[in-house]
This record gives sequence, C-alpha cells and structure tokens, in this order.
Amino acid sequence: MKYQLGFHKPKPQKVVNHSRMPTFLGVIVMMLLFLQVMVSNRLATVGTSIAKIEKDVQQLNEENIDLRQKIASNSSLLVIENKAKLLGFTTEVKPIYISREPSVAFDLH
Amino acid sequence: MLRQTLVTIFLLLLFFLIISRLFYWQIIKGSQLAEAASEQYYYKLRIAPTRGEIRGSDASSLVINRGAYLVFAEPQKIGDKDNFSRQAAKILDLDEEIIKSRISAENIVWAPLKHKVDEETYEKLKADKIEGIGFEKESVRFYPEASMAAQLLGFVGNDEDGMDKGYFGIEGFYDRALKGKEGSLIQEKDARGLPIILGGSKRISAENGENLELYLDRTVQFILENSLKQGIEKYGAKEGLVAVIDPKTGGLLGSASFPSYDQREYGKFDKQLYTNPLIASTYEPGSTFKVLVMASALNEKVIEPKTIFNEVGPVRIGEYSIRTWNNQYHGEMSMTQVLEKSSNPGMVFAGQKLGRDKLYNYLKEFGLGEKTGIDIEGEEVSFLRPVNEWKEIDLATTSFGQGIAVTPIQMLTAVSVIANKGQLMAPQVVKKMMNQGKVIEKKPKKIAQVISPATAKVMTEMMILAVDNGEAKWAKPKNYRIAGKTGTAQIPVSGHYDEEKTIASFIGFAPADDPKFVMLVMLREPSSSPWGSETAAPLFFTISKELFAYYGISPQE
Repeated sequence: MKYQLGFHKPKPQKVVNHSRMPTFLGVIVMMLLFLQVMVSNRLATVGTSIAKIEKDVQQLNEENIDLRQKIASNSSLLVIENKAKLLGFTTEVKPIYISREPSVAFDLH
Repeated sequence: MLRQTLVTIFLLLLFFLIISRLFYWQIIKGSQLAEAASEQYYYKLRIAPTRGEIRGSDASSLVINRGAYLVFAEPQKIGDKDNFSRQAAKILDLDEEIIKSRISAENIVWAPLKHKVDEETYEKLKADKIEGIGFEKESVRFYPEASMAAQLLGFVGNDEDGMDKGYFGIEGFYDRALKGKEGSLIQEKDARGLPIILGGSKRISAENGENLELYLDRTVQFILENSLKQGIEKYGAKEGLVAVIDPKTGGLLGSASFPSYDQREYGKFDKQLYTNPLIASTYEPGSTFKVLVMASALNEKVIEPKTIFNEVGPVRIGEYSIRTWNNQYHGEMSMTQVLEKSSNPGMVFAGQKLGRDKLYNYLKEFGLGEKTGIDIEGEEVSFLRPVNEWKEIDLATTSFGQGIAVTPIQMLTAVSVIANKGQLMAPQVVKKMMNQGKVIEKKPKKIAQVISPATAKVMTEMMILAVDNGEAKWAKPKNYRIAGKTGTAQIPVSGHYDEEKTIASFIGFAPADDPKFVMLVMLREPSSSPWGSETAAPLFFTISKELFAYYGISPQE
C-alpha cells in the first residue's frame, strides 16, 4: 500500500443545519398559552354579567306581563261601558237609514 | 423465605382490597357520585312555558296570564312552628293545622303552602317578615272580561301532579296546545353560584303555548249575556240560553247561558255549572224542529209549499190523538200556512208523506244523532233510536219535534243548513292558532249538501212568512226579512209530559236573503207565559235589533 507522506484522507465534514422552526413554534405556543390565560381570566368574571342580564330579562318579562294585564283590564267592555255611562252615552240605538237611491235633487247629471 | 412469602401475600391482599374498593366507588357507585357532584357544580333550572292566550275575533284578550306567587315554607329555618302556622294561616286564609302538619313532617326541607297567590297577599307576607317563608314566581290565568263566556272558555285547575291543566270548554279541549312544553337549563356554576361561560351548559328552550283566536265576537257575546239576563228576569225563566253562529263558516259568534259560574273562583260553584248546556244539555225542540221536517219533505218533492192539508180536527195515530197547540182547526191550509199556524196535524201529514225511512235519513244528514265535533270539551249526544224501532206514533211525534232529543248546537247547526244554501258546516269555536309568528288557520269545513239550494230558498221564504204571519209577528222588527220558527215543547218528567212546564224557544236567521247569523234562544220554564211566541221570540227580536245595529245591517224592505 502506498501513502503519500504528510497527507491523510480528509474526514467528511458535518454540516450543522441550525433550523429556527422549533423556536418559532415554541413562541407561538407560548403566545397562545398567554392568550388562553388572558381570555379565561376575562371570561371568568362574565358569569356575574350573565346572571345580571338574565335577571334583567326576567324582570322585563314580568313587567311585560303586568302591563299586558293592565291594558287588557282597561280595554275590557265592562270598563268601557262604565266610562261611556259617565260620559253620557246610552244603549238606546236609533239608527237612521239612508236610501241607496239618491234623490232627484242630488242627481246633477 | 417464609417471611418473604407472607409479606408478598399480605401486599397482594392489600392491593386486591384497594382495587375492589376502587371498583366499588368508581363503577358501582360511580353514577350516583357523579350525580351528587353535579349537584354541587351544576345548577339545573326548569324553564316554565307561558300558557297560550285566548282572544276574540277582534284580537281582544279573553284569557291572558298574570304574575302570581307560590308561597312555600323552609321548615329548617322556622324557629317557632306554631307562630309561623298562625301568621301564615291568617294571611293565606288556610287552616292552621294543615300548615303545621306540612312543616312538621320529618326530613322536609321545603313545603308548598299555597299556589297562585296574588300580589297583595304577597306584599302582606313580605311585610310581616315571617322567618322560613319563601316565594317563587308563577303565572295564573286572568280574565279581563270577568266571567264572560265562562262555560265556553272553561278554566285552569291542577292535575294529580299539581301542574296546570285546562278543564271544560276551550281550556279543556285545547289544553295540550295551550300548555306548551317545558324547557330546561343545566349550567356549570362557580363557588358563588354564578354561571361559568367556559363551562358546560345545556339549554332546551321552553316552547310557549299556542295563542288561540276565536270566531267569538266580544261585543256580540256582551249583547247576548246582557239581553239574556234581562230576558230571564222579565219572563221569569229558570234557565236560559242564547247562541249565535255564522251559517257560512259554522263559526260560533257568541254563546250565553244562565245560570253560569265565575271561572276565577270555579271551586265555589256547583260542578254541574261547569258544563256548557250548548253542547251538553239535551231537550225536545218542539215546533222549531218542524222546519227540518218540512225542508226534508220539500227536498224529496213529496210536498210543495202550496200542497193542501185539510185540518179538520185531531189526527188519530193508534190510541193517540195529535192536536193543535191551541185546539183550533183551520180547515184547508197550505204547507206554508201549516208552518205559520204551527199545526201539529199538518206536520204529521208532511212527515207521513216523507215516510219513516226518508225522514230518518234526513235527520242523520242534518247531523242529528251524533256529535257535531265542535271544539269544546264536554259535548254530549242524544242518539237517534234505530229506524226499525220507530212505530207510527214516533214518526208522527218526531214530525212536530216531540219524542226526539237534540242539543242546542245540533239544532243551530241543522237550521244553518237552510240559511247556507243547503250546506251543512261543521261548527267551530277556534279560528286560528298562533305561535311565534306561525299561524295555523282552521278553515271552515263543509260536511254535506243536505238539501238543494232551491229547497233552501223556498224553505227560507216559508220561514219568513212564518215570522211575518205567525204568533210572534207583533215583536218582529219592522222592514227586516227574518226567517224563523217559534217552539214550545213540553218537558218530559218520569215518563210523561208535564202539563205546565215548557221549554220556550225560537230559532231563526237574518237577514234572510244573505244571513249574517243564525240564532237560537231557549228559556226553560218561563213563568210569565209558557209560549215561545210570547217569551223566546220577543227576546230573539230584541237581540236581533242590537245585532243589526252592530253589524250595520239596514232594513231590506
């Protein structure tokens, strides 16, 4: 076997590829975690608002029912009859009927 | 070696014990514990539906809901049970001992005391600051028109489980539609009991009950009730009924009867008053029935309006004699005059011309002998005896409306055939059902063409003449064409007819040429006069005058 003096076969060099992907993903995950904590923190107190809104809705529904009752009562025929009597209306009905045929004096043509 | 083995066995036993205990708690008792845990971190709410409203044809409210309270007791918070019972009983108007027994029961944490408590009582209880008392909102029916149309509308009571349930009338018939469906909410909650937005939740919305719009006209109902009350007083009747329907649609425009009850305090009235006599009481119609027999005979062409009958005296049928109502006999008379004079022998003649089988078939065609199917709870029916059981006397008496029983709604529906060009319409109370913007219309339903339009027209003219020339002509409004017939029927009592007691009635429609309404007036045992021509007929005409004014119907003559 012959060797050249002073020279060795060069070893293959390792190429180290420094990828940024894991770091990038790590940052995204941390940001999302932070966001999750922030949102959860905000929403944790929303329960109070929801309870208040639901209570308000219920109260408005109850007021609505009360008002409908008052409207119905005040527009009942008994109430109208009593008020009409106070205003001097009577139940005597004397309708006046007008003939369909107009009298000669109204016939201008 | 032995020691090692023993320790190993001991450890294995311990391991087995732990596994079996875990199995017990996680598998066998798992669901129970999960349920108990969910009680702590979930709250469950029952969402009650709102019961549907009932409205008149002018969209006015006849039955709506208003707020009320369920008053309950929490026995564990009550110190002095005697004092609590005394205070609560006084304000709630309940028996003190009953309250005491409810709050003293063992292991009770919650006891209902009274439902549907009004605002005023609630304020009194709140003001007294009674320890251990609590309130829950609920709704109760409210009637803006007070007890108007009580027997038609029905009422809302409780079922076996204490839930609202409609009884009688429309509330009973349409209970399922009016009730709606309960909803629920299961929501995860925090330590303070507030909902956690990110937590689990399940919501099933309540479906409110359907709102009903009736054919009933509130003003017509008002007129009927006032007029009937005055009529009963004037003629000294024990009971009375007036009902009006639209012959073209079968829609019930109004129905009044007395005695009645107040649906706001239904418990204080006799249960017999809950049923609506319009659909549940039967009576012998008497001479008003003659129009149906006459129309049938005309339709079969076995007689004509000018067919002559010679009324010389009572007609003998076997051992029976059929007389006129006043024992007066008018000699030769046309069929029109038979109606005008309300001649029983004349009607026997017409009935015999028609024949038993054909008369029976026509009665069935007119809807008699079976339910009308009207949408009110509690309809009764008077069955027709099978035709092969009819004797000659039965044909004779049926011809003038005795020996046969009908309900008022059957009579109204049958006579409406004449007013509606021979068409039988199904009677209806509800016109529309509405829920969250969705509207379901109940269209008028034609059942049969019972008589020809030509027969209906001829029969109408005969009925107009019966009004114009009959015993009640003095009460008829001038210049209006009204078709009608009076009736005076004896009341059967213990197998025979009472000599003095009658049901006075009048049935008719107007304006005759294009009828807006068909009306039946009935007075039971009027004391001023037993005759329909002197009691029910004038009342009919009085109401008609008001209806003409309300509907803007001008005279036709």
